[in-house]
Amino acid sequence: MPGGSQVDHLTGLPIEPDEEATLEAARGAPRLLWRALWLDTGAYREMAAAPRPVLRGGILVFMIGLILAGVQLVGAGTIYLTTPSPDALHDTLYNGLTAMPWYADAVSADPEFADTFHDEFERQFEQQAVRTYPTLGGVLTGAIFTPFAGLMGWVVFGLAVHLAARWMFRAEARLAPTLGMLAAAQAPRLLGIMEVMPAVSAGTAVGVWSLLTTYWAVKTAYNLRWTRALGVWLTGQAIIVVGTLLLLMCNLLVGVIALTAGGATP
Amino acid sequence: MIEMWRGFVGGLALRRETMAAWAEAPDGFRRGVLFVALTALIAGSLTVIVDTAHAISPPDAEQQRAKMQAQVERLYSALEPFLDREVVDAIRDNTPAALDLLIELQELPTPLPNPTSRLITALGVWLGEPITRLGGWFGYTVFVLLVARLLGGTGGVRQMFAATALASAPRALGVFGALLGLLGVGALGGLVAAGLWVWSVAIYVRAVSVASRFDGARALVATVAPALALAVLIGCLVAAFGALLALAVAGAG
Repeated sequence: MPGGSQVDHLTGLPIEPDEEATLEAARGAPRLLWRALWLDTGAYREMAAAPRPVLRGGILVFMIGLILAGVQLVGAGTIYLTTPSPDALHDTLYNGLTAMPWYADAVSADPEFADTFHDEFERQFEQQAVRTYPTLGGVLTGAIFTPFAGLMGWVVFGLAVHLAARWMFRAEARLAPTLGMLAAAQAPRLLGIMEVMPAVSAGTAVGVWSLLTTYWAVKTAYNLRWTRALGVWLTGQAIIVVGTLLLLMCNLLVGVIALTAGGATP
Repeated sequence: MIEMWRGFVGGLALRRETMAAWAEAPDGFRRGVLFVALTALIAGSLTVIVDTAHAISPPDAEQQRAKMQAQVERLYSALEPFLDREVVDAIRDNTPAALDLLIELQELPTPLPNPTSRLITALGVWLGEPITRLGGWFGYTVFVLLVARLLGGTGGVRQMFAATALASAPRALGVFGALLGLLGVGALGGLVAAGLWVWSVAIYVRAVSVASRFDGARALVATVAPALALAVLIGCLVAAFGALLALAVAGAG
């Protein structure tokens, strides 16, 4: 920052470096994310060269998470407002299907078919309703966890990539600037804003675009050729997959041990 | 917008110079993404206009039913030679009740008054199309890029995406296919769609050749290889599933 630290114009007190980094991150975020979205190498380098890249990156990732949490809430509201009630849909579907000639034929051939059909219909409807209709609890939980899950994913992927780059590919770079660049690579997640509209699913586009931006960030951070950058990126992903599987297996093992011990105790 | 128009015309004409200019442009990736999104929006424009008109003044139930019935009849005529007579009769018997159910479902009340609700949904479908297209294009092109690099191509991520985006130009012309569908010449609309798809593939292959700076044969291999690999993978999965099913049936027997 040229000319030393800035002064808060309300209190007249000097702004602390952490606070300065926060303000800088917030002010420059939209422009930086816009450039990062289009694989502008300069945006990634800027993020790495900025003071306190981890703090700035964390703020950026958390802000994206907050925006997406808001989108989830609005999106759930839109679905609620534009979809018929589950009860009305259930009754219309059931009455309509059972009024068809095929149903009458099936029941006359096998009187038990009515019960079987009823049970199967209820089961299928329940499963589909869970997917279509957002529940208040589910939406709130999702909205609260989205910013934190984003932060966790960013840190874990950053560590995995750094581990792969330093120890397996002998690439040179420090962790903090890499995390800064990987934070900028989260820009495509903002495409999720489109999901405020019903019938819009941005999952695939966000997923593949994020793969591109994270690869770009890795390539830029460690200054690698494409084959080595792809190797680092794939190894980072593999570490996460293996780690997750190990975690799941540990959980399973603990569960089995707890069950066995519980079963053994009278 | 001038660049987009030039890209559209140059892409349709399979001009190498246009593709090279897009591949080498510093903002090529952004241009490519916006081009794919724009062509998808244009392709869906007629449908969104019709859906909006239907949302504001929905056609009466009888009109809707007659239109659906005609569509279903066309489908039966096409499928009849391949299906059992009994199956076709059963489907025909149930069609009127199924159409009643569909119309009833469309008319179910929603918390927002129905025109607004339908307008929002129509808008969502229209705006969602570019996102879906982008997802498919990104996903496929990543694999094409990988194969192209393995075959000795020298183009990077930005060059490949910028050039191959032009393959979506014929998609914008799909609006005419939709128009034919609306005019009741659906079969001709299907033919137009197939023609546009072939045109897209031709542009895509040439764009891969330009972005990777290699000949057309290798570009064709790079373009087709991911689709073939996917087909083989699906084939293996289906075969494995079939074998497992056969084993299970044999075991139960």
